[in-house]
Amino acid sequence: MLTPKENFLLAAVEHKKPEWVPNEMSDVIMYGGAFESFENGPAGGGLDGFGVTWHATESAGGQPVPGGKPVLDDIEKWENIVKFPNLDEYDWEGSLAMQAGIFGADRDQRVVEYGMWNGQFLRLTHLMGFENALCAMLEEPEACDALFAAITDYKIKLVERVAKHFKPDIITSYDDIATERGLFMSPGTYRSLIKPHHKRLNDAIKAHGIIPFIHTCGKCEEIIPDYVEIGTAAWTSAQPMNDIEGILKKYGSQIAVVGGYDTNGRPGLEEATNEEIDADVKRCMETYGPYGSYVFMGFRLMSGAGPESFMEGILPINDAVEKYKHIK
Amino acid sequence: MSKIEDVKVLVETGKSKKVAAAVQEALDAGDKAQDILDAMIASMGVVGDKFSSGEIFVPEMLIAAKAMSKGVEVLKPVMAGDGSSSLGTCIMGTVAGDLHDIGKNLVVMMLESAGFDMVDLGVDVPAERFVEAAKENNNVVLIACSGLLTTTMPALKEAVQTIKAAIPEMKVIVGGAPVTQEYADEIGADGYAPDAGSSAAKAKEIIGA
Ligand code: B12
Repeated sequence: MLTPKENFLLAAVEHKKPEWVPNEMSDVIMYGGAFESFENGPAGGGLDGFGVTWHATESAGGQPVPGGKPVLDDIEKWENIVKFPNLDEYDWEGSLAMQAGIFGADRDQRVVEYGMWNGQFLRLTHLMGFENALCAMLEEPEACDALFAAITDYKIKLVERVAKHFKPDIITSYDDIATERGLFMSPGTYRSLIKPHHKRLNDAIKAHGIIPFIHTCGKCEEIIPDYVEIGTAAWTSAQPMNDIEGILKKYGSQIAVVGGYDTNGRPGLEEATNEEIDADVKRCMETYGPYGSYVFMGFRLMSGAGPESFMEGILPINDAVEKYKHIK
Repeated sequence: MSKIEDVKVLVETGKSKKVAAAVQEALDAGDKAQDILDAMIASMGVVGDKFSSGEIFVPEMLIAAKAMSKGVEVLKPVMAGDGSSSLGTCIMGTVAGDLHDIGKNLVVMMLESAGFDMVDLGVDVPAERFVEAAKENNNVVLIACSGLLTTTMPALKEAVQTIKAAIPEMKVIVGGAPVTQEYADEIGADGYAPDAGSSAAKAKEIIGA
């Protein structure tokens, strides 16, 4: 029998049919993300390494969200205003030890995935506010391009540190460029302004022998072929407003899909019943499982802050996964 | 091309740096302020429809709205005191616990360009605050509530019910990604629109304009 890690890599990286449907929420040691204080501010809120203020809110499940006065008003002035985190000030080994203590370090059994939050587009929105950032992409594309390049340079330095200290199998770049109904920007704007930077980051990750994933919530099916083209091994947090089955049919041999669960629908509600949860997990396993190149992922947004309430939301989902993961 | 046509094209394509001058030229050429405003409202209608149909995206819509507001700035002093075109005041906000405001801001822009006087309460607005605002402002005909999180859908319900309990005749419109027509019906709202493009038509329908 395969280890969960081997089984996961078979689906997510080799794009083949695994022995059973892997589960992102149990087969992965997930490092990074919120622990990067230089990216998301200190726990409980505060300044990140770019000078952006973050607040922890209860409705965000304790997750910090950016707020306060934007750091950058006029994109053309970015070179004089935007500063980047000093990555050498960060206690990499201490952070690794702490995270390994919380999430475990059974590297032979589970894959190690490092979550690199705040992708190039998101970072622009954190610096400028969403609306100004979106306008800037149309009104000042050259300045945007230059800032995206500088953010990518910084991210590549981050990848070096992560590779050295965390030695993950996978690095996932989180760039939420989509909404419930479609991309934030036109596919043309994505392709001309963001995609080249996504590609350069993917290439840098691969240069360290690490596998690049991209996380994008919302409806982004139009650019899945672009994600394939820039060498992304898996698209994560796939939500069912996308034609996931169609994507697996068409691109499954080139890119894996991680997700499936209807996190924004009834089954994603705090008050979802066990029957509703069960039925949606079953739907995922039966509809997407047979294509291979698929990893289940599902969670529910809970109103309480902290990891306990997050776990409380996930437990019944994971139970259902255990029940249905062998459906072929 | 007439000066008004120029203004329309500049609004639709979001050329905010050029609109003010074009509006001034139209005024200088003898076009009536009201006609220029109507033309810009029509342009935003076109922009809204294109957005609803997926032809354009959020950035295009934002720059169009920005362009329109630059044009309106020029018209305002000319039209001051002439409240004839207002559909009444609409109070809008994102409900308690929810910090998402991009969709709400787009709806504010569309309702404003359709002729409502908008009072924007911002994000994380407690139910009672909508009621207070409705009492503090004149000629409030509509309250619009936005909610983007499944966990804040109950707050949307509370907002609608608190408003209806305090001011039974007040019309309430709701929206946001997880909201559906069924949910809007269930919580007793008077209307729902799936996107900013269709929100103006729905809002007018609800108030019987
Ligand atoms: C941008 C964004 C953010 C930004 C918000 C920035 C801002 N200034 O608004 C930030 C980073 C702050 C954020 C934070 C969070 N977010 Co958020 N966010 C999004 C994202 C990517 C886009 C939302 C958006 O702006 N859409 C674009 C606009 C134009 O669309 P819209 O809001 O739907 O509005 C349109 C219509 O709905 C309608 N409409 C809206 N309101 C109204 C009102 C009326 C009256 C009418 C008629 C119509 C109407 O018209 C609008 C224009 O067409 C969505 C992804 C998604 N799939 O939607 C997640 C999403 C909404 N967020 C989510 C989550 C979980 C969070 C956080 C809890 C966690 C986190 N850290 O990310 C926090 C919560 C903070 C809080 N307490 O509110 C989840 C919600 C899941 C759920 N089950 O509910 C989503 C769906 C992402 C996901 N798939 O997990 N988020």
